[in-house]
Amino acid sequence: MNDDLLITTINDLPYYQFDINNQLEFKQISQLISIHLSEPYSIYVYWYFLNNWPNYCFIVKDPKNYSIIGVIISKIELHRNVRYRGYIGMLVIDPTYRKQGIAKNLVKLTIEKMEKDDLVDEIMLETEVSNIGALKLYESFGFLRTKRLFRYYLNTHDAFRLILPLSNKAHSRYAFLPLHPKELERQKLELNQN
Amino acid sequence: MDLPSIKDLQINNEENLIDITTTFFDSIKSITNNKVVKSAPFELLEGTRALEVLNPRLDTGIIELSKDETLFDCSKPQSIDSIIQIQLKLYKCLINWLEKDSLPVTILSCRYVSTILENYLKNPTELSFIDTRINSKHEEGIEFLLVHKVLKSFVVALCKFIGFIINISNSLLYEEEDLITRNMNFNFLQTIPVENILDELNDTIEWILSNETEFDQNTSTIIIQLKIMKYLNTIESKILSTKINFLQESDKFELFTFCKDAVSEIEKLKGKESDENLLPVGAFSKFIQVDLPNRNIPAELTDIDLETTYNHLINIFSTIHTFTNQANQIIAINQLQDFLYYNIKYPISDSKFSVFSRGLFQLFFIRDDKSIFGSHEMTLTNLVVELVENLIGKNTIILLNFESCLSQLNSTQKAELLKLYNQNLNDLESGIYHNLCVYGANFCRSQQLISKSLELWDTIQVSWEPFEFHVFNKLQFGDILKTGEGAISITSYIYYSKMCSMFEFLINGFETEVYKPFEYYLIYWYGEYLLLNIIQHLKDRIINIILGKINYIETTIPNKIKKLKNGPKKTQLKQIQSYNQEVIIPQLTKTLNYNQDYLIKSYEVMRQLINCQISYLIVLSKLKLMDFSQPSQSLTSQEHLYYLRMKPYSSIGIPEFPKFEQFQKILKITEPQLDFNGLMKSIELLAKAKNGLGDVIKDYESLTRYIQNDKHNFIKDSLVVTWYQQLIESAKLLDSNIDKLSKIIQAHKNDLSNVSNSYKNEITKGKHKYFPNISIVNI
Ligand SMILES: CC(C)(COP(=O)(O)OP(=O)(O)OC[C@H]1O[C@@H](n2cnc3c(N)ncnc32)[C@H](O)[C@@H]1OP(=O)(O)O)[C@@H](O)C(=O)NCCC(=O)NCCS
Repeated sequence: MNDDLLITTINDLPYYQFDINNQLEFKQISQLISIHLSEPYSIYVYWYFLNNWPNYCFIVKDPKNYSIIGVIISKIELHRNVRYRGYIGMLVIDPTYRKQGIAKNLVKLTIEKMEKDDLVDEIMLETEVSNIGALKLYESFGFLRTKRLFRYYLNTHDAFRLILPLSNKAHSRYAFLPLHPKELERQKLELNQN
Repeated sequence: MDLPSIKDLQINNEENLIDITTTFFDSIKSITNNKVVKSAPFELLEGTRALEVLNPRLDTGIIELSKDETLFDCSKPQSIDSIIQIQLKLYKCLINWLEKDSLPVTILSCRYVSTILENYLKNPTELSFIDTRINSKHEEGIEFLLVHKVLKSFVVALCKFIGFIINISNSLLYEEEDLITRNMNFNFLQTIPVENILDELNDTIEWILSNETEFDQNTSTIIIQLKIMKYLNTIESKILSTKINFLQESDKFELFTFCKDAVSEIEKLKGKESDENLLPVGAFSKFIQVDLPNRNIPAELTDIDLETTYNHLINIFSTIHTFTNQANQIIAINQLQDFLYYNIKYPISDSKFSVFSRGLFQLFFIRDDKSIFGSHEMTLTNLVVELVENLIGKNTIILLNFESCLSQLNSTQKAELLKLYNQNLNDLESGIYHNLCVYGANFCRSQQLISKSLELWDTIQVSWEPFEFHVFNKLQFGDILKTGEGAISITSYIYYSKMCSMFEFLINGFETEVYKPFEYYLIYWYGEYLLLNIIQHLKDRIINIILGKINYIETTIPNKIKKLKNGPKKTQLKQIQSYNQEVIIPQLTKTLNYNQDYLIKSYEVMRQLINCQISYLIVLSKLKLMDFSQPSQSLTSQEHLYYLRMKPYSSIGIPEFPKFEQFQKILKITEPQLDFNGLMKSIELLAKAKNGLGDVIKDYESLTRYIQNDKHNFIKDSLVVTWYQQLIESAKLLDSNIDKLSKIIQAHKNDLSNVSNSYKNEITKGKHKYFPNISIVNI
């Protein structure tokens, strides 16, 4: 147990950042998700998120046996080189621990970190149109439904794309936006290397 | 053929194998902890569907098949009962694919289908059920022929039909959205002409009839099954070759009558139950998922019921019969618009079309050569002029003979201006083409296309407007208003089209359910603003353009004629003028009347209905039964939310985009107000809304009568009437909700603060897609 990664304790439940060196955590996370999310994800997807953005994977543990009871996985990336976009990939709470506000805390942790550490312009995610619980949860934070995606999921259900706008860039058409400073930096670096 | 497990695998042909053990282990040494090794193109999307060895949800290699499934012998003779059940099951698979699931778990799960397709892939001249991996010899009796003649022609025809759908889907539908194909790299009998397939089916039907005594009461069932397959393939053979009398008043014969025959055959089949016990064991399995190179994850076979199957098939034929015949009846551009909007798009958004019919419609409508319904006269380019003049009237000078205005210019200027003109015309054509492709799309995709249309049309307007001004001011060329101003007719059409798309995109958000109740006020408010602009534009600009055109013919030209000396010029102008008087003036008058009596009216009534809804929403908010500010725990500002919602419109120059501050001011009117003034204001608003609704209902009824009496602007039996009926019902529903609310207010008039303690809003589906039902219920 790496206590450096403990972020906070709410209602006696400890919230951690994912420990990239802990194989067991990785395994538990992927198991929890694969049981409770309808889309089947390959191990590659978990690796992709957890290795690139371990700082954006938060887990909640049962203080009694330290098993993982909730997880949120996200990433942040430049979108079309003009906007910095956070993306919440997966969120699952073990059914016995639902309706206690755990998901809410995880989403809030994620949003606040993205805003503070990475100055993201927006946060995006998709969820099934029939997932009332998830929709209520995200919408309570101000996420807006920007699009309905026809038969988006393997189970042929439609999805909503939700966006939480955090800066003016989130609502400007990208053709009107200058390149993001991070992209400019990258281009400069590339130029110097050549 | 036995498929041995890896363990039992006796590998004796070792020279063909390469041992990669050392290379593999050497290469993984370079992988440092927690690094993902992947090639650059392997991105997240690939990864989400990537194969993961030994994960049962992701590895098709570990799908288990029974011996019956593995060794299923398609060439084995089968009884007629089994054949009927296989064919029935294949119809179910077909519809299941069209409704929901992928080919490998539906049609391709049938070993007969996969065997034919595999053989065809190896050798396009070989269509057989023989799998060379399975040694089988069978006696060639009647049951042998039932498989190798009857079932085979059925399966071959089914494959051809699937190939046709896939072709349509590739260019006109959205893969993994409208259809989930996963074609397993099969080529669905591309090289075989559909006529051969039809001949083969006819031949088989003949054969059954000549052997009728062998099959007694089953004869009719099996023939019906074959006939339906024949009708499905007839669609392909007829859809592009049938001549449509588009915009011509010539004799109109009924087309696609075979669709009616198909429907009556399916009705006859309706009594036939499926009995899967009669299916040969192993005929349907996951074999295909294991047998062929497969990029997809394992999936269970799925099933749908027969009733859905029959209804879906009937729907395909009746829809096609309807839309082809309606298209054939069209004699005016307004009818085309009525057809496209109310008889194609409207039922599609209600899921009343099969995905196949949607794609087929788009194929039928705009052909590869961009002709409309295959008409020689009506290409997309001609249609553009027709559509524009359908709004602004005939005789649009800039569309008539542009080059004539260039005579005053030197050759460089001439070339430049002509180039710009052609470029602008092309852009206009692309914009119209884009809009015409929206009709067959699913209701979500349609919104994405319209959103793109907003950008597109705004750009088109930005290039046309200065161009038309320039040509009018510098060259005195173009339509002229009575006031002497340039009419900028094309720009006016573009502006109108753009605003219509803006309104449609906005209001359709109710149908896709992207709006939360707290946004309702904003949406109706902005919708009302757009309608106001549309109405003003129609009344001020469009009507004046037409009046200007009439004035030009009735006043300007006669004056010109008077001034001219006798001679050929005068005679020519006189000739033109008599054509103008006889043909153009009546056309202009017709357009003028339609715009005034119907088009403007329809927007005005919609605007009034929205205004009633707005009044109701204001009262709900005043009484704290609805809240139009943002969610209370929101982690972003209301301003960001406003601009995100309004993003599709914010970059559009005109109509002027309202700033957040403007909306904030407007929103003040919705602030809770529970005192006496609030009471009075609420009562007043509700009374006003009720009055308005009375007018709305009357006006919609009179529009409906207008439509029913009109033979030129609407097609026969147009669903536009249903559309208005739903709006009338919406108005009535709103009226009864207002009554309910008024009673509640009356009962609490001494203390309005109690209302929100006892009641809350409940939002359900309304009578029309623009108006969800917002009612007040007890807590
Ligand atoms: C959706 C999910 C993450 C919610 O977890 P949770 O810890 O129970 O949620 P919380 O207790 O934090 O609830 C927060 C808010 O969400 C809403 N909510 C959560 N579950 C809900 C449900 N089943 N029905 C209605 N609203 C629900 C409520 O508004 C709740 O706020 P409230 O308690 O103040 O009313 C959980 O149900 C889950 O793991 N589901 C399966 C996986 C999934 O669907 N993930 C989301 C897809 S991206």
